[in-house]
This record gives sequence, C-alpha cells and structure tokens, in this order.
Amino acid sequence: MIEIGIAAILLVLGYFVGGAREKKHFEDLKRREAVHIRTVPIRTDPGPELKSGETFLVMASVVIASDYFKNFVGNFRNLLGGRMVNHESLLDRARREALCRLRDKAASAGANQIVDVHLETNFLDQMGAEVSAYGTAVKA
Amino acid sequence: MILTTLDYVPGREIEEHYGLVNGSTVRSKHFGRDIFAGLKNIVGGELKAYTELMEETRNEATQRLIAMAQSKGANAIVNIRFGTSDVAPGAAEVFAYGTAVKVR
Repeated sequence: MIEIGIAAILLVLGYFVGGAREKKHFEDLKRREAVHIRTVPIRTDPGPELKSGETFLVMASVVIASDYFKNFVGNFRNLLGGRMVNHESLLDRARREALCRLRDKAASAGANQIVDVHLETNFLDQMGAEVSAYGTAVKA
Repeated sequence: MILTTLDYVPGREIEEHYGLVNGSTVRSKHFGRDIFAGLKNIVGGELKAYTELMEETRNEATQRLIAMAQSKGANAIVNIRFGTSDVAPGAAEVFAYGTAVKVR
C-alpha cells in the first residue's frame, strides 16, 4: 500500500513538475534559436571552400534525464509497441540544447557561422541520454 | 595546433601528411558525483555533473589526439571526428581521430 502511495506521488510529481520543466525548456530553446538563426547559422556540410578566415573546433554536449511519469508511460508503451513520444521529446530537447550550446560557444569566441556540424547520441545506463555536437566554427 | 572537422585549413596549404592520429579515454559512468541524479529521474532535466563529466572526457580524448599529432611533427589536424562506445557495463569510451598534417 505504501509503495503504491509513493509511486502515485512520484507519478504526479513527474507529470506536473516534469511537464512544466519540459515546457519551460522548449520555450527557452525557441527563444535562443530565434536569436541564433541570425547570429550563428549552422550547416551540416562543409559548405563552399573558404579562402580565408579563422576556423576552430567547437564541441558542446548535454546529458538529460526523463521524468518519472514519462518513464512509467514509456514502460507501458514498450509492452504495446508503437511510437514512444516520451523519448522523442527528450531527444529533441537534448539535440536542440546541444546545438544551442555549440552556437553559444562559437558566438562567444567571435565566430559567425558553424560548418560541418555532427551530432552524436548515446545512452548513459538508466540515467538519461547524452547528445554531443561538434563542428568547425568560422570567424570570417 | 589547428583543429578542424574540415579537410583543409582556409588560406593555408597542406604540405605534408602524417596519416591517422587518434586519442581515446575510457571513463566510468558511475561517479556518485551527482546526488541529484536520482531526483532528476523523477522530475526530469539536465544532469549537469554528467554533462561536465562527458565534456571533460571529450577534452581529454582531444588532448591525447593533439599529443599524438605533435609527436609526429604536425601543426594541424584535419577531418576530426568523435565517437563514443560502451566498452563494458558502466564504462564509456570517447575517441577522437583525424589526419595529422603540416600546413604552410
């Protein structure tokens, strides 16, 4: 009985607090991306060959955990099969956050674009997902 | 040392190739550094200690990459790529590789 009570509390906490934190994060990402699209455009290909300018390597990463409610729903979804929306939104947040940090780092070092961007994802046992991004920052 | 993911260095000419260089480091994923990790699994969010740990690990792999290129007499590494692999339960390897060159 106590176990069920604790699980119920964690589910409610996960649903409300986790949901609110996710919503806040998405809003934050949207705001930062709107600035970045003007200041530090990125591309995944090397782009046209540069004749001059300074280039340097930039890296950024983020480790992010899902909430209790989403994990719980995810476990059920796992039994039934189908899209796991909970994991989709987690990875979306992580990738966008990693790219935002990459652009912040490049911009603070004076770069005005990043080319040849690569993304990488890996799971840290039960803890969460790590996404790292790296590329070449260009100071024209 | 010039580091780039591109296969050239803008405005510079590659005059010598030293071949593939790599650097790797294996870290345990269990550190107990983040006592809030358990809490974060309830409400979700960033695990900052782990982010820092993975960044440190990547920087270390990069340092080893640079050291190997320096020992060959290179002054730049082009075409750099990173990778991660789970080598054992609870352990993560981060590796970096690229081509060591001398640019003029």
